[in-house]
Parts: sequence; structure tokens; C-alpha cells
Amino acid sequence: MIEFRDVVKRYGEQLAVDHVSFSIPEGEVCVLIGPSGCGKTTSLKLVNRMLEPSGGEILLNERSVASISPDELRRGIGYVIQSVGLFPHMNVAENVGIVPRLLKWERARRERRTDELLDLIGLEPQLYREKYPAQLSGGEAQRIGVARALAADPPVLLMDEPFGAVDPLNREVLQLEFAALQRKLQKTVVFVTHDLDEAIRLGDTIVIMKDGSIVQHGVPEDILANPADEFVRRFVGTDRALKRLACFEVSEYMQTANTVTRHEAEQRGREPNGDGRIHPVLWVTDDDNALVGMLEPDPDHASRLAYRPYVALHPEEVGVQPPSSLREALSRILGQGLRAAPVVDERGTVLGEVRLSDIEELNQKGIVR
Amino acid sequence: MSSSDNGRGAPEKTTLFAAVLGAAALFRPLYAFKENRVALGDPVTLFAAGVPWGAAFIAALLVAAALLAFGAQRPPIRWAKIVTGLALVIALVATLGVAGRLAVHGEEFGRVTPSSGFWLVLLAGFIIVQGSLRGADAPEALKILVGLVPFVVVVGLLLTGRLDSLAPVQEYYNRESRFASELGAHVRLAGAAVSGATVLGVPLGVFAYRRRKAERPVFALINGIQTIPSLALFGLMIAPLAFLSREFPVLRSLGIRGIGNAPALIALTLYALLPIVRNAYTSLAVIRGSVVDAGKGMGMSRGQMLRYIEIPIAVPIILSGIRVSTVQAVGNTAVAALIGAGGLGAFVFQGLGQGAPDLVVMGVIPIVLLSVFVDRGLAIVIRVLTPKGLKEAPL
Ligand SMILES: Nc1ncnc2c1ncn2[C@@H]1O[C@H](COP(=O)(O)OP(=O)(O)OP(=O)(O)O)[C@@H](O)[C@H]1O
Ligand SMILES: [Mg+2]
Repeated sequence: MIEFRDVVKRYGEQLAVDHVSFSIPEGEVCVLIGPSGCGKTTSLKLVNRMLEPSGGEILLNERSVASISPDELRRGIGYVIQSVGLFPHMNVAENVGIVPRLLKWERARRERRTDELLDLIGLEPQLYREKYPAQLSGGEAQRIGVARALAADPPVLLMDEPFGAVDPLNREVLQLEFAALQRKLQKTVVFVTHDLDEAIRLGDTIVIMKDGSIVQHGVPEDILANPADEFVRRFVGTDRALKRLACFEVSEYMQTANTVTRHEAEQRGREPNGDGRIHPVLWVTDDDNALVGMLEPDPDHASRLAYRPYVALHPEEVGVQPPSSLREALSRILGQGLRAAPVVDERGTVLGEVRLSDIEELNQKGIVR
Repeated sequence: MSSSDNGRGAPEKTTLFAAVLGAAALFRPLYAFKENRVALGDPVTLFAAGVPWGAAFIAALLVAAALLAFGAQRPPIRWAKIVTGLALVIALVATLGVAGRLAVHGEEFGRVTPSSGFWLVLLAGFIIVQGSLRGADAPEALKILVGLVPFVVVVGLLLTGRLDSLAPVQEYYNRESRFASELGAHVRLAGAAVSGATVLGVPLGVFAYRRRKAERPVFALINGIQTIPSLALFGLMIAPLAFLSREFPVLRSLGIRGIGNAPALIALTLYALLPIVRNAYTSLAVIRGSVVDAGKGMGMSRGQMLRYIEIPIAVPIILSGIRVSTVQAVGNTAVAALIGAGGLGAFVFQGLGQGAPDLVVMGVIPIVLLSVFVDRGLAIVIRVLTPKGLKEAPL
């Protein structure tokens, strides 16, 4: 656990960090976000004593960091610096393996760990091990910086815009990788970013800073639903309703789906429904229970109890998987002009559905105007 | 280099220039035959020197170089040029040796002195070798070794007596024992100056980097020293040291006087300071703040920072400074002979005083050889010590 207690950092006249208090429970990711110069990097550097506070204190697992020797403190904290800072005279493998080397791991173990980490950040070990920092792109260098910080498996991570120079596509991949990794490793992470989507995707909590102070601290969905003031409202943007949907997992809002086999569906099309009831949507599956299409009610039919003819669908195009966000579900729904999106597993088996009406309701409840 | 982007049509200018220079120089006297060391001498051209095969070979090499200059800039042609240039230098020195022996045969006081034609063809050979080596795609150490070949061959020819007929070599034989002691004095003096400058200069450079306030005065001072002409600096040392020596018998008993080793050593050390201080400063300045932050941030102790980061990055740069300093010091030490410090410069000034150019050459050539070997040797050491990641890449 990390706790900031009334922390102040002054640079001459300027208050870079202005009476900041908040805490990060063990195993959680706290994202610091705010405009350039608001004191994010400064706050981060106070944790591993790269800087000393002008007032207040920071506790790590109930111990004041000031009471721990800097070198010892830093050995237990992985640190990804904003400007990467790879060692120019060491190749990628040596850069990643430096902390294990300081900790006197054997060579074989170090090499195994290095390859493991390169795989993890999506850089082919064979190709990258021997490269030197000057031969890397900005994004590659940043990823190596992350791998270097993870090398000795420290319980605490300080990450200063670790994916800032990575292209959007790869960044998303890295964010998902990081989220998956974090679910497994449960590290206590302070993560600085400029990217609100990244903050929402990765943060258990978000701290929004401005001019050295905290303007709002909370879970992502609350911040998006109830911006504390005009500044936060502007900061999170007019699309905050949409962004907020990214905070919710499909699995939590999934309803039971009604399915029929293709054989049945072909019979039912255009025929009035025998049992006198009609579903807003009927998902059609093949013999392996995989999604192949759907049936929708036909409003023009005289009885109003008949479905339109069978429509073929591709699970990859319309389906969402349980860990995806409601934002993705909404985009599928709107993209296909449906009333609900089917929830499927990797093989396309229908697990349930997410309804547009539920999303609308959730949105109305949450967002305060 | 610019010539490497030449296509087929345009000739490569450096080599072509050198070949034309060499060809023109063939018509200048190769050597002068003299009755005695101060005589003016009769000039003799290469073609009149009585070594027809040598003359033909040298001419053929120059033609070959000119033709190669018109070839495409591909590795085989580049290496052909390098070999041609090396052969030219070696053939020229060997031919002069043989021609000289023929010329003095039987004449008791005869001696031959290399003249303009020799020096110009020699220059052409070096231009061809160095010009083509610079852009060659080969390990740096190999290039350095190839560049040393002519020097090694010349030393070999000298040691085996093949160049004995040449006047500078005869001057050497007349002073064999003194040569050894002056060479020793030269090496000691230059070596002591560079060692002293290293011991003083590296900490000074580090200090200038760590204390931003000290940076300006430190560099102003050592840049200032560098602008004083060496002769003047040696002169400046005389009066204060003479005074100290007179006032303090202790110093006198240590051999410190207004002239001789003490003022020379002080002046040479001061001269050697600038490249060393500058590079020590730069070696730390190139280590980016982010790299230092990263090291600190992962919990490196001061000693570990030094061992894993600062030394590997800084040492090659500091050594480069020492290399520049050493080459300069070898040259400056020649001037120190003027205030009685000895060294190879003593022959040069003696030769100048007696109007005996052969003696001057005999003093200058070992100074040149010494500079070249020290320079190339340190270049190889630096090459080996430079971490791979820093070789091609900017820091
Ligand atoms: N060493 C320093 N000396 C003086 N002022 C500093 C120093 N470091 C930072 N500052 C100031 O403190 C403030 C906060 O800086 P900080 O680096 O924490 O910003 P940041 O939120 O990380 O910004 P960015 O998003 O641009 O990285 C800035 O106004 C900056 O100018
Ligand atoms: Mg920052």
C-alpha cells in the first residue's frame, strides 16, 4: 500500500505538489492524469525518493519511505521513467537484465527472464536481444523500458507514461496485456498518463491533478458520471457518457439469450409464432451451438407475431466477449442496427446478450448533468 | 566521404589528384648527390638514378592508380587502390635506398639526400592509401593496421641497413649513441607531460562538470594556455624557475633550473591539459540525465553507477583526449629542446644551426614515426574499449 499524507513539493516559489493526500491499496492500479506540468512526474518521483518532499510524508506498507535507504527502497520498486533512459552502451538483453544482474542472479536465469519479458512486451527475443538502444524506434525503446522495470518482479511499479510513444494500435495491445498481467500479478502500481482512455482501461482508481493538487479522486465510472467541477468536466470531454461505458464489463450486464437452431429458424420465418409470444431477437445457432444468424420480429406481418426471414451473421462482427466493455457492445449494436449484441466465447457459442435498453438505463442512472 | 557516391562516369577525385601529383613529381629530383653534409648537391631524377626497374614500377603504379580512379567505387577497386598506394610508398623508399647505394658506391664522402620528387611521390602514396581506407568497409582496427604497413616497412628497411646510403641515415650513424638517449629523453618527457596532464586534467574535467560555476573559469584558463605559442610558453617558464632555483637551494638540488627539464615539463604538461580536460568533461556531459535517473531509480549505488554506466561510457572518450594530447606532446617536445630539455628536437635545432638539412630530417622522421605509432596504437585501444552500442550510434 502507498499512502500520500499531505505531501508538498516546492521548487523555489513554485508548488509543484500542493498538499496532496491519497492512498493506493495493495494490488491496485492508481492512474495519475492531468495537464502537462500539473505535478504527475514529481509525485511519482517522491515515492522512490528520486525527490524528497518539502512537507508531508509518503508511506509504503505503513513505513515512511524517508526511513528506508534510497537504494534499498528502489530495489523493490520498478520504475519506468518518462524519457525511457535506456543505457546506450548496453544491448536490449543487457538493459532488461540489469536489475537481475545487480541482484546477482545467475546468467542462465537472467537470460531466461529477459526472453520471457521480451515475449511479454511483444518483441521477438531472437530479433531484439542484441540490438542497441540507438537502433530501436521510440515505441520499442519504451517497451524495453517497461520490461526492464518488470525484470526483478518488484511488488510496486511506478510508470511514467510508459506507452506514450507507442502507436494507438500497439498501445491498445499493450494496455490489454498489461491489464491481463496485472490481474495475475496484483502489483501496486502508480501509472501516469495523458490518455484518458488508457486511464479508464487500466485504473482501479484515477487521480485527476491540476496545478499540483488533486481535483478529483475516484473510480473511473464515478469520475465520468460525476465530474467534480468544470475543469474535470472539460478534461473528461463531452463524450464522457461513451467513455464511461468502457468502465463496465459485458459479463456484468449480460442477459439470457433466446436461441433456436438453424433448422427451426428456417421453418419459423414468415410463419406466425405458435406460442403467441415473440422475442425482440432470436439468435440462430448451428449444430455446435455457434452463432450463425438471427431472427427479428416482422412489424408488417398481420398477426404481429411473426419473424422476418433468417438473417446470417458472423460472430466476429456482431458478437462481444464477456471481458469486453459495454462501449464495445454499444458500438456493435449501433454498427449492425440491432437491439442487442450477442455475447459469445472464442468459438462463437452464444452465452447471452447485452441489450440496448439496459445500456440506456445504466447511462441514465449514472450520468449527472 | 564524397567520392563514395560517385557513379561510374565521374572519376574519384582524391586518387586521381594523387596520381597526377605523383606523376608530375617524377620529373623533379628524386635525390641530391652531395660531397659533404653542408654542400648543396647535384639533383638526380628517378629516371636518371640508374634503377630502371624501380622507375618503371613506380610509374606503372601511378598509371594504375589513375586508371582505378575511373573505376566504380566498389570494394575490390577500393582495395586495389589501397594496395597500389602501399606498393607505391614501399617501392619508392626501396628504390631510393638502392639508387643511393649505387650513387655513393666508391665515393668516400658521397651521400644522397632525398629531395622534392621523393617527398611528393611519398605524399601521393599516402593520399591514395588514406583516401581509400577512410571509406572502406572493414573493421576499424584492420584499417589502422593497413595504414601502418608503410611505416613498418620503412622501419624494417632502416633496421636492415637498406637505407644506409641516405644522408639522414648517415647522420644517424654518426650519432648512434646520442640518438638512443635523445629518443629516450623525448619519450620520457612527452610521457611524463601526458601522465601529469592526465592526473591533473581528468579530475579537473570532472570538477568542471560537477560544479557548473567552475566550468567557465577552468576552460577559460586552459584555452588561454593553449593560445600561447609554445616557444613563448617555454620562454615564460625560464625567468620564474630561474628565480625559484636561485632562492631555494632545495629546488636547485632537485635539478630545477630556469632551463632544462623542469620548465619543459611544466610547459608541456600545461599544453597537454586542454584535450584531456575537455574530453573528461564531455565524457560525463554525454551521459544523459535520463540515463542517470534510470540507474538511480533502479537502486544503483554510487559505485554501481560508476561501474555499469559512467566508466564504460566515459573511459573511451577520456582516452581519446589522452590520445590527442599525446600526439601533440610528441610534437611539442621537439620544441622543448630549445630550452635545453633534450629530446629529438635537439637534432632538428642542431641541424638548423649547422645548415645541415639531413640532420633536420633525421630528427624529424623519428618524431613523425613516434606520433604515428602512438596515435594508431591508442586508436586501436580506444576502439577495443568502446562499447559496441556507442560505436556507430550517437550518444
Ligand atoms: N527540477 C525542477 N526545477 C524546477 N521546477 C521543476 C523541476 N521539475 C519540475 N518542475 C516544475 O514542476 C511542475 C511539475 O512538473 P512535473 O514534471 O511533475 O509535471 P508533469 O505533470 O509530469 O508534466 P508532463 O505531463 O508534461 O510530464 C512543472 O511546472 C515544472 O516546470
Ligand atoms: Mg511528467
